[in-house]
Amino acid sequence: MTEFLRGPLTRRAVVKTGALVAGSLIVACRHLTTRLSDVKDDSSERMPSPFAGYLEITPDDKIRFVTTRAESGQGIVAGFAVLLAEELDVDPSSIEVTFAGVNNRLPTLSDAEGSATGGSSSTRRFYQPVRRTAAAAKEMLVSAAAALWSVDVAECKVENGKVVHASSQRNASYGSLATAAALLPTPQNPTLKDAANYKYIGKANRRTDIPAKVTGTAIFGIDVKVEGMLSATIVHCPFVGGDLQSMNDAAARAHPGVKDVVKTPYGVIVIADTFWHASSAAKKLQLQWLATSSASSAAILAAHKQLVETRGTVASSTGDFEATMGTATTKVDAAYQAQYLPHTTLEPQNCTAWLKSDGTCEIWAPTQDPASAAGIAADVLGINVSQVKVNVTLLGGGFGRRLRQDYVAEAVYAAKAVPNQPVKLLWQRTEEFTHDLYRPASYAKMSAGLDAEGKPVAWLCHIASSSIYSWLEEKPSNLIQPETQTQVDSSSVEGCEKSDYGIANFRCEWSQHEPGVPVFWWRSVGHSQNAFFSESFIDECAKAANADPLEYRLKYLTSARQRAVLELARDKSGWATPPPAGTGRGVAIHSCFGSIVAQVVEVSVQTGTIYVDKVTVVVDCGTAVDSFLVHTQMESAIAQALGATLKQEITVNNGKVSQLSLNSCQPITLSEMPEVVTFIVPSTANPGGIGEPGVPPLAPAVANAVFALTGQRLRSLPLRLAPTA
Amino acid sequence: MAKITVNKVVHDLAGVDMKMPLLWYLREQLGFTGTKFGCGVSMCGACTVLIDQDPTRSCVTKLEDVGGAVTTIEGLGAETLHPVQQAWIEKQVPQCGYCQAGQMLLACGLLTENPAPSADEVDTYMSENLCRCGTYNEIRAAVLRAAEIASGGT
Repeated sequence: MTEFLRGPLTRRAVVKTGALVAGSLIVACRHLTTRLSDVKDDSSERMPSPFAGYLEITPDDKIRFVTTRAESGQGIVAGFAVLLAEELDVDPSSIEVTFAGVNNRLPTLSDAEGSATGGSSSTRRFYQPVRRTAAAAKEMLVSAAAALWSVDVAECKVENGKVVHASSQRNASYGSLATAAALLPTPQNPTLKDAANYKYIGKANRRTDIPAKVTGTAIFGIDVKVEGMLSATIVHCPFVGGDLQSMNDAAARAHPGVKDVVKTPYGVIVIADTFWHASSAAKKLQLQWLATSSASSAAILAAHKQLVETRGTVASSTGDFEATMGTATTKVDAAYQAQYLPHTTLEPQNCTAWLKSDGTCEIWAPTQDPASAAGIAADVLGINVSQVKVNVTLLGGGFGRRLRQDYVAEAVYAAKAVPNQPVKLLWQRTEEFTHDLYRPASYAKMSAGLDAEGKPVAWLCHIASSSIYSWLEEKPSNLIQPETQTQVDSSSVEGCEKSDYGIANFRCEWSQHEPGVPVFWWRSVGHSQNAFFSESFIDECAKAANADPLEYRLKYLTSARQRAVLELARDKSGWATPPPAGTGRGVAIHSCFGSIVAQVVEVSVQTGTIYVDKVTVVVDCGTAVDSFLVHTQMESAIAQALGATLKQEITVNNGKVSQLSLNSCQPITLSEMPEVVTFIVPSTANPGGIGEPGVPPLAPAVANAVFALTGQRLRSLPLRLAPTA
Repeated sequence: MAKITVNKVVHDLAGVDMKMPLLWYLREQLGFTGTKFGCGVSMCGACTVLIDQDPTRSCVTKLEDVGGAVTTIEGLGAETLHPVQQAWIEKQVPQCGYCQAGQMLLACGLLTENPAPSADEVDTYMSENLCRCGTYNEIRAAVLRAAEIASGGT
């Protein structure tokens, strides 16, 4: 059910925010359920999000959308613009999208609740509401014009930002009608444009946010300028867990421009007139830390290996695994592992905070969760959250990292130390490596039984890993949902807790291990490593059955939609024709966040190095709002997954992260980027997610391709070929 | 008296710490925030500017070592967009956009050195700069397109 606001919102919003233009037509976009009924197969609904934002059409013909969602490159802004443009019949790039923040551009504080951006959820949750909002606005504008011209509504239509009455050759711009339209009742069941008539949806449209990013005028959190602003940087504990024992800050304080040095629960903050001074001064701090963690990757691996040897907590179970294994013709066993991963957002963490003389606080942050940002700021200051104003900037990469609000708390601690002066806190890159919250390292023991035909009839997957849920910030943000199975962190087993292959005797178990290394959501979360485990292992089963790995999957996939995706991948990748000499092909298919993605990867090997040359992607994401956004998000996911598959890992030794720089933990470079060809399955179903689903299939597809080419089955990420004689 | 030219404007450097990296002078003293900080140690290229025609990492270039006129992204297309910027829009390159100023300035350097690069030459040259969003295929296409535009192609 969608509820629209108008009328009183206009007056209240103008008074409260001053951000809206008097006389505008405003239609708000809210839905009252926290679960989209269309999203049937997504068990990872972590983020209730009732409010998408509102549309404003100003008397001077500006079309604006204020959104509660954040833009970190994934194209949410562009996608919403396409949906609005479709119903309003205007060019998407003419729609100005801005960010709502908290106690800022929204009518009420509660509208910001659940406004986290993540889980590939924004477009698919608000696809219907955003379209209905624009369609309602259009109908109000048409009604206003019809009244103005004393004609029938049915004789009017919209064209390129105008209402047109063809027979009398009259037209009026939306802006000229806005004030009159605002007085009309909001239609509760506006008619959406038919898919047959789409002008923008499904096409490759120009993104609204690109021009500013090309001229250097786009403002990220790091670029925020506030009059009188100071700068700060923070030194965190160099151990993944530890306490500050002692500090000698004399040299740091004596450095030019330094205002203060502040100890906080997060680390030591140096505040100065410029970041150059703050960061230079920070190097002069003499800090003694006592490690409370002695975590080491070798010990973690040993612990994981031990844990999977005894029964874990059952995440899911069907049939009787043990009994079926007893009668299986062929048994397949393998163990896999994946490492901790850093987020490596290119824009380091930062936040600008200002504790004002009236006791209120204003924040500017590149955050994926402004409501939690306000909450944590209020906690640090001991004030009511209604006293915190949050401005959301563009994000130089999110990938889940900016769902955490540690950098906001840190900036607010800095602001407390210099009351009534805004201060921008910015992390150094080394802190990004040593003080990230990582994609968990995991271990998977896999065991399968095949019948005489080679069909997988028994499957056990036992995962050992940390629990992201257990590391969430003390004051949980609205995006935490209570787990239905309280003993299993669903994010640890998502992607391998059920089988797509109709395996009747299936069990997934989980064992928790907490070595003290902080973990968090990373693009596609549990799917990012669990798909590597399950889609590599099904490939091993295919090998044991002497079957073509793609045909094997097709034979046993139970979902017709998934089979259609895989069939298209087979056709488009040329799977049936052997690849050229020196090239190996591998396939993987995975479903998550409401979409299905299959990838066929072509690899080659030179002097022991794996090269991924081409990825053929087939995606069923329901309605593709914009074909270019889908393709580029597939490329983006593949680039990120490839870095994790071949290059990046975070290891710990004696409580310290070993990778301190981009050179030691490098994402892929341009020359390492494969050719990516994307095919979108035509559909008019509601959209599935697109930001994350391209990640999970990549690692297993590469491992499967490497096996096809070299005969080496690599079960540990990042993949490293054994030297051949 | 030390001076520096940035985007065709001459600035006095009296009282300015000449050991300061050009990046922070640009961002904090002049307010040109288009050039970005990604690592501060010359490993990502987000801070790339042009000094005369040469792409240079401003995070490790001290003011005292700046030996030519500086161009930042703000100065690249003042009245009309530079061919590189035109191509970047045509090919819809940016996703988050954070690395893109550095990428565009690096591309300018390539096209000065080699006005008609092959795709392989683009790869080799442009691989110096990181993009975490993975816009690499679009970057390659845009550099090749920029070469066409710059040489008068339509």
